[in-house]
Parts: sequence; structure tokens; C-alpha cells
Amino acid sequence: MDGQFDSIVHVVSRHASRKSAHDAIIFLARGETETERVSYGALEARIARHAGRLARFAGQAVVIATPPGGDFASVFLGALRAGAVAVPVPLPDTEKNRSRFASVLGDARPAAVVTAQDWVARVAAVAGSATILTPGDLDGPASALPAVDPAQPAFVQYTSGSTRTPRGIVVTHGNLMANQRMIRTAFGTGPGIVGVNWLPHFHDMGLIGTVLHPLYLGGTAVLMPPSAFIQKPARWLRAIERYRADTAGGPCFGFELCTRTISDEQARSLDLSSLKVAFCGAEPIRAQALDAFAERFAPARFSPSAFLPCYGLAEATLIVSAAEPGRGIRRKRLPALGSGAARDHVSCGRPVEGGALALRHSNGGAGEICVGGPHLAAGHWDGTRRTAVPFADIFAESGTIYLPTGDIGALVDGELYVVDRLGDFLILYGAKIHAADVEATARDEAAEIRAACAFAADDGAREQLVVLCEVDRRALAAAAALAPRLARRIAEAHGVVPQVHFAAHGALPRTSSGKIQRAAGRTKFLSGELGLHKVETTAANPVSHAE
Amino acid sequence: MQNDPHDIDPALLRSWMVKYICGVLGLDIATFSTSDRFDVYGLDSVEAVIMAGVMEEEFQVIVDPHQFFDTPNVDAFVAAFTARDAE
Repeated sequence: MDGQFDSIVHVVSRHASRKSAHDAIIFLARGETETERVSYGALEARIARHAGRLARFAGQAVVIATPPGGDFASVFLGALRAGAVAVPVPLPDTEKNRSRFASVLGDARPAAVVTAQDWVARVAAVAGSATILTPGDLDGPASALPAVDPAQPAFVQYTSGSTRTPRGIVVTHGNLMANQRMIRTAFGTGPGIVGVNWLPHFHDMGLIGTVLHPLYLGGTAVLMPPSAFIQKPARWLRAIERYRADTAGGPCFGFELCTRTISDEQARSLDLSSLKVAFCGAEPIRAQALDAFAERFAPARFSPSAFLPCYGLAEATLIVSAAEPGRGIRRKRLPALGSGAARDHVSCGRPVEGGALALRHSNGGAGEICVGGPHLAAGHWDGTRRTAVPFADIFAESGTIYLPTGDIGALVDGELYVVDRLGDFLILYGAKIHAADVEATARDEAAEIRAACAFAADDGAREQLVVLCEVDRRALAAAAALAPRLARRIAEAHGVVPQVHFAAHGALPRTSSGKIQRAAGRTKFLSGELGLHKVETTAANPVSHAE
Repeated sequence: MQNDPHDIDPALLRSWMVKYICGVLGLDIATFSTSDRFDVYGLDSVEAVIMAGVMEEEFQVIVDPHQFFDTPNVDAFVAAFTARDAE
């Protein structure tokens, strides 16, 4: 009907009527052999049948906890077609995921949980009064395409917030379609897209970028579970070769894992020449890691110009800015935020077309990245009232609503460089010190330091600069010897003698995308939960290490 | 070309895992406890899944990485993986 909003389910339905036999999803359960191939025609039929069964949950949350693959895509889109609010979550397969699952269910208050047959008992244990269904139960009479209001919630992403206080981000049908258009324009993708990816299907980049984007375009999503990739990263690259993928990517860590585990000899046997877009985002982008990948896979005809660094967050559906396709990485040495030496940063390109980006409190330099536009999510999910509550910290400027992201960026020649996360100024002895600068100094001083977390803590007498350093467990015993040198170097660079503590790599709290959470690290440190204890103390620079 | 997990000698698998984990994490084999949970000595889930990949190559078997989450220490994993009633 003319003037009717074209939602993702309308678009997929149209692809099904125009090219029914075209592959929509190819799934490699272990990253090697094809275990599932779903055409647009078959996908559409499954979506319509699922929607028929899920219609009674319209307007209510439906949690989807299934393994990745065709079932996930058809159930997710079936829920959207039924007018339900889909809530994709990881399976409760580990201790961490089980507690996460329970707390998300408590917040989302779903009317139903859809899970795979094997998981019914485990899900039932924590699902409360929600109806538990499997994809097999959702084989109802095909439902017709509904009229969709773009302001209607499509799904909720529980990707931010702690386990104790989960926060679900409400993405509307309008948000989703706006961001899909933005990705298409920014990446230069088209209907011929073949994506080969391994990202978690319940996470913004995996869901919106690697499952839904090819379906939006009418292309093919070749998918494998994250564990299949991590187990043998070469599987991802072999699948890229086999399916002649033009689009693939993930966080920097995925490229690093390939370089770490795939030898020069194996690299020579691969052909990555089909890859036109190798997107990289979701965590800080380290130019050296991408350089190393490009060098290792040059014999596989990987073109470094395919690298496409980008920036985004779930609150903006997914994408916010992206480098120009075909250009590769552009780096710039930018002055540190406060004290400390200038560092190289990678450009995340220009804000996507139709999106608004502003820097707050920037004074002409770096400032907090604020995002606005049609992709800005509606707010947080209120499970009791089954509606979105606008984000608390949004503000209006020149007629646009912006959300502060907590990330600090600089705009140079119109391109965004993400330099830090906010909340992390220290005021010590009247001087303003940026935590990121102190952490960089620590990492630069000693290669053993894998990650660092700096903050101010009051020891009862005065505010002190505390630097928690993560080192490999094997280096822990020897790490105490580094402390005087580190303390001296930090004092030289930033004018404050720190307390230096060591912990095993992985001990500091991180976000789901791997960023160190300074505030949580500080809280854990102050409450003694990190298990640090002092082994050696001098008046000038007390140090400790973990058992 | 794939072997059956229950054809693997449990002692061989155990000593391979101990050597692998100690090598990756820099632990002392002499004091390593096979009954400690993986996360106690810092083998996080990503490293455990990478180990599953190396183990597949080493023993020519299929390893479901989820098994490491269900049986999160060396002794329990070896027992479950090589059990006669295993799939």
C-alpha cells in the first residue's frame, strides 16, 4: 500500500517474492561444513508461520534464546512480524550467562521465551511465568504482513548495563531501517552482498550488521558461531574464500586472533581477494593489530584498503560513523587529553549520512561524542509498562535530540577519532589528569602490562592516584620489581606518584566489548574484591601484587 | 579421519592439557592442580575455546567448546570426554 512504512519484514517478504530461490542464510555450525541453507522463499514462509503463532504476544516482550542459525533469524523476524518486541539473548550456557539471563528476564518481563529443544529445561528453571516455546512450536498458519508504525519497538538489546542492573535498549522499526540505510551508504554494500561472519547473533554488531544487513539488501549471510571461529580462526578466512565474501569483519580482537593462530604457510594457501569491506569496530581499534593482519595475509591477496574502521553503539542502533570504503586505515597522532605524550589514533571516518554527531565540552579539541538522528534508539525498556522510557541524559540542540555516549572523540578534517571513555578525569593536587593518559604511560613503559586502569582513591588521608596493571599470570611474580620504575615514569609524565598494583590478566572488570570499566574497577579495588595485597611498601610509592 | 573420543587414553589427554595450559599461562607443571576450575588459574573462556581447537588438531577428534563450560576443570573434562557412554 502506498505510503505504508516499509519495515524489515516487508523488505524480506519482497525479496522472497522477487527471488525466492536466492540464498538468504547459509549456516556453518562448526565453521566448516554447511549445515543449513535457507532461501528467501523458505525464510519468508517460516517467518509467516512463526508470526501466526506469536501474534498473541503482540506488544509484549518475547525473549529469543536460541543458538545462531536459520531458526534464530526466522523466529526473530517472525516476532517482529507478529508485532511482538523481540529480545535476543545469549543461551544460559555458562555461569556468567546464566546469571545474565535471569537478570535480563527479570527486567524484560517477557510473555514468552523461545529456545531450542535442548535448552527448554534449563530455561524453564529461570523463566518464571513466561510461556516457553521452541521454534518447532511456532509452526502456525501463515500470517499476513501487518501495517507497522515506525515508532513501534522492534527489539530490545541488552548489551549495556551491568548484570546486576541490566538496561535494555529499545530499537524501533524506524531506527532499524534508518540504520540499515546508513550502513548501506557508508559501506557501499548492495544486493549482491555475501557476508561471512562469526559475531554473536544477539549482540548489536552481529545482529544488525551481519544477520539483518544482508537480509535487508537481499544478499546472503554466511554465518558461524563465535566459538567455531575462536576455536579455529582459519575457518572464518576459509569460508570467506569459499563463498567469495565481499563483506566481513568484527572487533579488532578477531583480526588479532587470526594473526596469532594462522601461520605464514597457511596464509599463503588462502585467497582473500574477494573481500572489499573488512569492517572493524566495537572496541578500540589498534592500528598495529590491523597492520599485522594485513602483513600476514598479503600473500592471501588481502588488500589493506578493505579495512573499514567504524564507530557505533547499541543506543544508536549500531552504526554512527565509518571510514570511506576502499581507503583502509587513516591514523593521526593526536595530543593526549591532559598530560602525557601524543598518541596515534585510527579514524572512524565521517558520521553516517542522516546522522548527527556533536562533541560536548570540547573547547575545540576532544569532547564527549553525542549522537542524534533517526537511528537514535527510543530509550530503555520498561518491562512493567511494556514501553520505552527515553534515555535520562538526552538533550536538544538546534532542533536535534542528542545522546551523550560516554566516549571521548576528536573531529579532525570532519573525521571522528575515538580517544577515550569518559568519567575519567582525576583531579589530583589541583591538576587535571586523564586516566587514559596514565594508563597509556604505564603500558608504554613496560611491555609486560597488558591493560591498566587508573583512578583516584581516597586512602583516608588524601586522594591518591591508583594504577592497577594487568600482567600475564606468569609475569605476576616478577611484576613487583617493575613497580618503582612505573611509579617513577608516571610521576615524571603526570606529576603524581601513583600507588601501583598488579593483577593477573583478565582480573579487571570489562564491558561485553572488552573495554576496561574504570568505575567498576575502582569499586572492586576499594572493596578489596580484586584480591590485591601489598607485599612491599615505601613511603613514596607503595606497591602490591595479587596472590 | 576423525578418532572416537573414547579411544583416547585419558592419561595422555590429561598430560597434554596440563602441558598446554601451563605453556599458555606460564604456570608451573609441578604445582598445577587438575581439579582446580579453569578460571581459578586464569584460563578464560576464549582461551579454553582456542585450546579446544588445538586439541582437535592434536587428537584428530571433534571437540564441542561448550564441554569446557559444562566440565570446567581438567579432571572433569577428561573424564566426561573420554567416557564410554559419551556420544
